[in-house]
Amino acid sequence: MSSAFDDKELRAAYEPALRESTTTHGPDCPTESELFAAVRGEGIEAERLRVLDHALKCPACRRELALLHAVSTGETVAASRNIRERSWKNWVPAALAASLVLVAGLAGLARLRVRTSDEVTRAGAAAGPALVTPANGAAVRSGLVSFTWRSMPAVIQYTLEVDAADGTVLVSSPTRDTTLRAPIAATAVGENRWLVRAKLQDGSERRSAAWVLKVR
Amino acid sequence: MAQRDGRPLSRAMTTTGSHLRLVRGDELPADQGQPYVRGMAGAGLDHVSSAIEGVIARFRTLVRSVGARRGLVEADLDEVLQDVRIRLWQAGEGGKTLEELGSSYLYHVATSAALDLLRRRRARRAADSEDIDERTELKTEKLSPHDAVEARELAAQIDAAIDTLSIDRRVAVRFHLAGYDREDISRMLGWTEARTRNLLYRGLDDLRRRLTDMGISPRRTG
Repeated sequence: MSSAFDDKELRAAYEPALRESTTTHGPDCPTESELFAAVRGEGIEAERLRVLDHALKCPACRRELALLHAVSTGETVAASRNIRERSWKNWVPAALAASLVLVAGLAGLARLRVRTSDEVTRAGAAAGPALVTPANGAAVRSGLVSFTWRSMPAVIQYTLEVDAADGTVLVSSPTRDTTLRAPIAATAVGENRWLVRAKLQDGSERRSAAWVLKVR
Repeated sequence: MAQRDGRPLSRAMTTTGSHLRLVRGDELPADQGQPYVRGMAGAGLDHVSSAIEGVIARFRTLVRSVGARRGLVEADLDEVLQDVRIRLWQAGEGGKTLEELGSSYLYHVATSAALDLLRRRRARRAADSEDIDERTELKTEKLSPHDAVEARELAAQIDAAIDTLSIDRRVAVRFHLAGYDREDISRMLGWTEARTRNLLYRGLDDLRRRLTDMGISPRRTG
């Protein structure tokens, strides 16, 4: 058995750190306005990263982050629809209409969230396609590079992905085959990673291990 | 005007605890600084009140479902919703129709109320710590004192390992472990879904390697 944490074990082991809760802030804490701007994705990325990195570690800020996120998320769903009833005196049917819209929207979001979260949780390397070439850690020249992997049953589509160290996707090519020649740009010089995602007939997705691909 | 026990009902409501309450004229708060909301009387008021409560209750369910697993504290939400309740009354009193308000108005008001709450708290420099029971989704099994100490130490070691990751992977991993999903991360950080996924995978892989290097492994039983 692997001695590394799987996702469930990692979450469980980290949970005591999340239980600490306080409203006392320190001098390094962002203001509530800075926190809210970060929640809304406003401002430059470096600043958002700084604010959110602190907020996720600091118990007082983490609590505020959770509140701001919870009350503001879903606004996009609600904003696209208006409550239909006209009069203040008709609050009851209006409330029902608004609630149905909101519940439907949120239920959709919840389903989407379960699906995307599960991909991270379940899509272990063992469950996905086995990579063949280029070997893990192999160095290649920029230009066309051949990638191969082993087939899996019940797959309707594979997607080859090559991504840079900062997470930028360099290549994302769908195919039904188990080999693909993909262009690797000269700008990809350095250590990248490649992996294959397999979309199955039942709608689920499996991910291969991620192998290092050095581009010279 | 509607009457009860031969006395006219006031045209006002007052806030008590977390609920709006219909009051008589002679029960209006002596301290005019105390918040109260003018409204209709009698059956009309009851009608509006129950409708607002219905909206609030449903909104609460929605917000809780978003906040669940992400550390939303119930008491915080209750305070925000009390403020939202009052603002809805005031909007109605101002002659706004629901059509004018729209459902997004609820989110706008709730966000504004949440920010006001945080500002008030920070201004008071509140130093009270909250009990774990206030959290929505962090119920855990009872641990012995020894196991609890060990669990906290392990969490601290994981935290230290996370600190060594590059900031983009670190934030993605912290979000993930705090219960946020990739859609949340993408939206807040302005990353594409693919970039978010890649950074999260890389971050989790890095973290597992760090933990292995530190000689930290999961405690497995059975």
